[in-house]
Amino acid sequence: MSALYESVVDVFAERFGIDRALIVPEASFDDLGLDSLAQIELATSLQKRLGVVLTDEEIIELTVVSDIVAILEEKETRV
Amino acid sequence: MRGFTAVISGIGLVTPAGIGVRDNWARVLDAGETMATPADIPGLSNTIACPVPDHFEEDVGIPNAWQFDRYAQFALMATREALGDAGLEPGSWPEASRVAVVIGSGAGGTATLEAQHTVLAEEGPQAVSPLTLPMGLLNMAAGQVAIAIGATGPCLAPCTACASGATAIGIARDMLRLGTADIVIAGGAEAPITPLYLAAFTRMRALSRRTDHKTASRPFDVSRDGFVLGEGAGVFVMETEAHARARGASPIAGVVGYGASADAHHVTSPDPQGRGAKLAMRAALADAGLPGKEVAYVNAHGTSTRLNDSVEAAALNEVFGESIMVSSTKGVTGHLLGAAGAIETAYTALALRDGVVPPTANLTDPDPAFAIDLVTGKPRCHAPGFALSNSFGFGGQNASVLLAAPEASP
Repeated sequence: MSALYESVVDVFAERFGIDRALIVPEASFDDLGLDSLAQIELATSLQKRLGVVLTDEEIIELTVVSDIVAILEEKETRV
Repeated sequence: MRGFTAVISGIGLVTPAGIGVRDNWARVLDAGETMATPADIPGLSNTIACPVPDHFEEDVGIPNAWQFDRYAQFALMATREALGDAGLEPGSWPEASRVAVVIGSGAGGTATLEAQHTVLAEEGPQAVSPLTLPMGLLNMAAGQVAIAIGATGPCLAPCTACASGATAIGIARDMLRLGTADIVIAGGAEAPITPLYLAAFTRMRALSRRTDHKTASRPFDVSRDGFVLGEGAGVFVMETEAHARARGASPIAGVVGYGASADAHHVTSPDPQGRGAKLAMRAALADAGLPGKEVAYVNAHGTSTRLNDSVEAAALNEVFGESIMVSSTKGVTGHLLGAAGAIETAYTALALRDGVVPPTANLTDPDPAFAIDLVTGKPRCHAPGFALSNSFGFGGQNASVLLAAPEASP
């Protein structure tokens, strides 16, 4: 598991209090009990932690945890 | 339309005196001390407040509690206890649209709004949380409770500042009387122990400046010098007598009268003659068709400020005479603003249930100007058939709730 992936899991667990065991690559936001407002909140948390900026359009396209990791990799985000 | 009783069949309390009715009532009857601690706000030295002890987000009992401001977390916790007390299972309503929610607040989600304003100022608009308003709005305790329990009847959040919780009970009773609902989840919730609220109340010189925080809230005492800010929620299950009887619920007390008024005098100072306070109390009595001499006990607004307690004591004397038993439970809990009316109506209902009047904490030297029977020291055993709870808010907004023991009727 990449360091980037670990950082994403950290954000989910710390910001939203979600059990780490549930944060698997194929888990959807819905599975994790996160609505569209929480997705925007997630982007804010990622920006604070990793300095990566996700636009609202990019956020709307995300459905599962691995999508987030993929877009962060695409943006060459460093942990 | 006289003579209507709204049955209180369940109570939930989250206050500085504890989480749950049992802990609350034991501590309020003991009246040992003000449940205050240093507030630890940068730049405000020696500021104290009464927090809810040991509150954790996990205790709210739902996974998305982080999406709730603290005041809404308190409201949901109190609602769950009240429903359990009433023997009701949330979500299994025979007719969900007949279940209403009326939960008032004065400050709403001020902690969230203050924190996000700091984010806006320091990091810019892009950093502001999209949950700012879903958490911060004053109607969200009511909204989140309706969502959590699946209540689809009318849902609202009255605000009359420090009378909000009492106003909610009055509105809930009106809904039951008018046939708008069969069950109303009613109360008040507040979490104002924040830098802005403490700074603002300090600038108004409304807070006690006493250094011993255990004795700082001392309603009706000659040495009282201001209130101590508290937080929490009080929630009731209220229903019509017919509805309670049909499902075999046992009433804790009945709301038999409600009176509201405005001082129309000043934004914060009470009318010097207590005009608004007297109007509210007399309106509650008239609503029930009950003479004042039938009322044995009043749970006073009793904030421990110089002005409130003077004006309220004189008004109580005028309405009820000098033998009326009076206490203020704010000596223990501090002042919970928009939740105060709800938690104090709860203590008043418990006083009727148990036939015991809670004393006022820290009232060691009653102000000699007051000609009322101030209950202090030990709880006073009595079997009062009727009791009143007063709440007076900034803006001169007043509400009095008149309760009857289950066996008493006006």
